[in-house]
Amino acid sequence: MTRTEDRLADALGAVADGVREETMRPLVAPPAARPRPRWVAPAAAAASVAVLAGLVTGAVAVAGAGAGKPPVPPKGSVPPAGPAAAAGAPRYVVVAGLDGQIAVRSTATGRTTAVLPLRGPGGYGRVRVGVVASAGNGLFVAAGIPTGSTFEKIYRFRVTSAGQVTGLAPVPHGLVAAGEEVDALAVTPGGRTIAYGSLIQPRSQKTDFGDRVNVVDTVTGNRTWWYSGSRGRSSAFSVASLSWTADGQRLAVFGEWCRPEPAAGYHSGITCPAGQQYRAAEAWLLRPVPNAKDDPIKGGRRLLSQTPGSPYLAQAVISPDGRTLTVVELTGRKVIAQRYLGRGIVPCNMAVRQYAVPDGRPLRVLYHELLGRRFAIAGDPDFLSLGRDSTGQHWTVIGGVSYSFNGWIHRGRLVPIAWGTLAVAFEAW
Amino acid sequence: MRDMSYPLPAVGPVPDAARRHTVTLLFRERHAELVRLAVLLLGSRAAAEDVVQDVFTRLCTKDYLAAGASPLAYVRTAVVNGCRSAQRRSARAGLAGDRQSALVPVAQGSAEDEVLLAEGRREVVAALAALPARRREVLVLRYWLGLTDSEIAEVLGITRPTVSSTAARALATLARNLGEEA
Repeated sequence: MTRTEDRLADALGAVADGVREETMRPLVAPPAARPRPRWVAPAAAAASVAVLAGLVTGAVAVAGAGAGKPPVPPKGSVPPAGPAAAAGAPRYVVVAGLDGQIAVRSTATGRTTAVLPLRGPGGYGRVRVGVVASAGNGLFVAAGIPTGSTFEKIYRFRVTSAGQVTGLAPVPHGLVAAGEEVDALAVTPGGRTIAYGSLIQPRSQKTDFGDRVNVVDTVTGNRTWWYSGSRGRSSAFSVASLSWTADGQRLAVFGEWCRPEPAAGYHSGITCPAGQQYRAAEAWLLRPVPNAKDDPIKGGRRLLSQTPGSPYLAQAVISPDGRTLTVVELTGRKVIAQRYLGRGIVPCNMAVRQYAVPDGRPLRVLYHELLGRRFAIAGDPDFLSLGRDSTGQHWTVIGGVSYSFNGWIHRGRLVPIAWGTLAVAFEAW
Repeated sequence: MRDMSYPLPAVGPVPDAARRHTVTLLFRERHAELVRLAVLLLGSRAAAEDVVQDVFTRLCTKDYLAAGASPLAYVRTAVVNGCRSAQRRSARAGLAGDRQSALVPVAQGSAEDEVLLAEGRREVVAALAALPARRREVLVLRYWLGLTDSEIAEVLGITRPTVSSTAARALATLARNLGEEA
């Protein structure tokens, strides 16, 4: 090589090395220019790589599925490899497994590309749906206990375009108080402010217990919390989901209150073992104010609660612009759901419906499905979950542990996403 | 020459599953490389990512991969062509600015790039940016990607002798602009 060639190769290499993979922008979904195969993930006009959530263990054929619905893969199948995963759908999903493992998995192949050296709280089988959250652009936060430690902390990390985890580090001021377990998590875009629901274990039978919503500014360390969900011993409060508006100023809390049933007792978490008749659910909109003494979270107002016409609210997530609330609700005929702690009675018509935040007016139905007896018996409707990407354009519905269904909503259909392993999959990009 | 890392049938229609599999592999293994290639050709991180995005979007939505073709060569060609189109659009929009600095990297992470690129490198990069597009493409493909002249010919759609002569002229111009002898 001549000196010119040497210098050229050196300069080109330096420029290329400066383009670090972990900083590359994720691909966005292609526009739906023409009908595509059913497995191809949807795209929206203002598409962004979707934030996904999945509560999956291999899909099940859902009884009573509507006409024109995409076929659900057989139980134990893996999703088709292809561009659906490569571009239309997110490429990787951060999965919190029932075994406590938090891992990154490829949506194209289902393979694990990275495993975090953390374990989830609660041990095997204790589902903590909300232990990972996406801050967009490949940045995630996760709650977990590092190897060799007993203290739960909130960590942040980035998933590269190759599915690898980089920059795993505890979030400043992210230590979870002793005796508490994170069971819901949300982070503002960019990752500065984190909200988490923490399960506080009762110290005695006479002690009130339930979740507390904590809000932490990871830069200043300012903390505030919302404990108004507690309504004394008459109900156990648990946070089913948290979601921020894009400006990071408003936090939507969807919670449920379970009244005790003598036979089953309390089961704090995201389920009410006693079933619908012992359960109330509400969505609240909060405006956290750092370090406020008297009223730590201002502007709290109830957005939605159960009514006779909408007797079972399963999930509620606010849109990035704060103007709509997207809700998973169950209505109609009631079936008996067999659960591991007893039987519950739930309605079996599931709808994903949007409401206007200012006045609570119903706007539209994004998706509906007759869950049917098979789902209700085999699965657990309390595990219905809802996720969205940072644009609010892509929504995912996920449900069930033993016979789950999951996917994202595209023009009234559910495009399935599935893995063949027992895992609670959550955020992705 | 066929790239057997991304196998497609030699003849006949490409099954949908094979096409999807190939695109997935390409994305997983080559996305970063393609973005870097586009950055080297465009000098703009944002524009480079747009170009690669467009390429994968087209791959996902239409059947561009033909039987017997080299998928890797195809996407490299698509990225190079996309970069040319992006430069033309920028020129028409009056955004081209100073071509001498077009390759001085990169919009994002520029603080680190400032450190990484010593003045000598910056001088080389500026001289490269001043070359005509075809010459710049040949040099980048040869001296960064390490492609042979035959592979460069396949990517750029020109003959191998043309690659050789273009590279020779490009190097001579570069050396002259750098005050060296090729």
